[in-house]
Amino acid sequence: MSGISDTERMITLKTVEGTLFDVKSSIAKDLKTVQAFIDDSDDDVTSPIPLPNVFTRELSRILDYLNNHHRFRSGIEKADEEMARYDAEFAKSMSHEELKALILAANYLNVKDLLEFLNQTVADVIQNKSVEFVRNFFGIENDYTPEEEEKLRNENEWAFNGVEQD
Amino acid sequence: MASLNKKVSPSNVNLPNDLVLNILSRLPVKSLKRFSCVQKSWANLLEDPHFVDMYYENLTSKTRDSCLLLNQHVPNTVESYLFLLFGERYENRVKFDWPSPFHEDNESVIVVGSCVNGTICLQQVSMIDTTTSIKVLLWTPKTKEFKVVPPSLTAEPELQFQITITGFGYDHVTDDYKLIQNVLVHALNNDYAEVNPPLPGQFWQIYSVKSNCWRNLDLEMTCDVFPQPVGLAVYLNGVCHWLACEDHNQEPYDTDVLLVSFDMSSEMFVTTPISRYNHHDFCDRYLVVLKESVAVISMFENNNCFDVSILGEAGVEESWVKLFTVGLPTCVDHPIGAGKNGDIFFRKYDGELVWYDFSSKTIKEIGIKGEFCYSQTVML
Repeated sequence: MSGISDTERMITLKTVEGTLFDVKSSIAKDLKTVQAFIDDSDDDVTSPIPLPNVFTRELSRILDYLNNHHRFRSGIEKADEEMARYDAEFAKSMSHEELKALILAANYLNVKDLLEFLNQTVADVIQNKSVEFVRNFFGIENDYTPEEEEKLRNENEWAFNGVEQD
Repeated sequence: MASLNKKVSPSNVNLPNDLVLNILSRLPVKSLKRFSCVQKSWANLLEDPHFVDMYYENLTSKTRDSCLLLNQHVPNTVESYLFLLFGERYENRVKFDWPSPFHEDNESVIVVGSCVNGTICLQQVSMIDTTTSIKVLLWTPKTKEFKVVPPSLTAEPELQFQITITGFGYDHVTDDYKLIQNVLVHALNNDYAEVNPPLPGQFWQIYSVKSNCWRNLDLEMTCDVFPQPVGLAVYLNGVCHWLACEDHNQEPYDTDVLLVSFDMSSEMFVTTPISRYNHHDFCDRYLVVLKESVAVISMFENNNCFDVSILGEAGVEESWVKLFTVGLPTCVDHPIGAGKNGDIFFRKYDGELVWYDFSSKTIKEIGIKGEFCYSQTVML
């Protein structure tokens, strides 16, 4: 029997909801947490790998991203423009809550490039926003007294012009 | 359940702190300063060395693919040579040809400002009789195309002109490339000054590629430009920035160093004092662009330290943010520019050109020697 090459081997992942995803091992390599699990196992991994912190919606998005990026990079001609368009659509398609959920999943699965992209996306979203928007976004409670906050705002007055309306 | 505040909706997902900091480390200084009001732990992020390390890395990561051009002025000569530096540690270099007008005579060629959309401005200054004669080219290294910029003034027998190009940039409104220069006029003898109407003293001119000529600019600017040719100008997002000085009227011998920011489209400017430094401490300053920010590298003679400060907003003195200070061995003379990954290049007193490696905190030689004040690096 001829050897099955790495790129053809399939890994099965199981999300919190029990959904199974068959993933090419070449894609699974980008999920570093999964790859570490595979590397650590003595035998070939045949049963589905459970991902207790990852939901179907997030895994589906992550695999979609990775599959597309692999496709863009493997082409004979560099598909930089297409990739940029895909990335922009990808970022726009999510609500803020979904974006954060995806960041958590990408962080858990250790998908480096995607995490970089998502973190940058959030940075771009909040860059020109107000203090209140940012508190809301990150679920942060204001621990300044009104006087302390007023003082700080006055000290950094220049940083408050040009802020987008919430 | 009715919420008291209509605007606030409960956040379902909360990111762990390390991810939040990763996101914050990508923001411009202005945003960070504003968000210091979000909560107390965010008040002094830029004073936390660990955060600053992350922040600085993000400031420079975009330039990883760019090429670095080194303009070497050979010590004790007037020759200048170009090198393309590449490799993780700049270990590879290729001598790069100047454009043809400089093939015969490459005396004192310098790069003015930044690379703008792949094009750089080259300048060769020589004194012909009493006037500085400048050969100016706009050169695209990738295609080797160049354009000769016509001279702006004709020589006058009784006058001496000193010309300093302070900016090369792009006007997105007219889709045109422009140069801005300062002209200082002296009378060669006092008689001339008495007989003729008062000299303009100093005036500004703008050149545009589309018009291919210079025109005088009506600019009320009281500050003087620095005579030092390199390191004083950069271009970013439609604005040319350069260092200037202004005599402080209150105290004699106290000169303020300013940043002039000139919008290439509107042709308006603002100035930002570079404060925080005791003007009596001698300091070399070098302007660079780090990602989307203008930064000043300041090198202090008394303790041989250099620091990097970023401008938060042009025109706002309080918006300068000092990122860090680094001590250097006494053999290091002055900065000559920035490279990829935020590497900062210097010249040593013995002429060797080096770069500061932040990860190992050491200076590394590149095996090329350069002349005081003229050698420079340019990010392409």
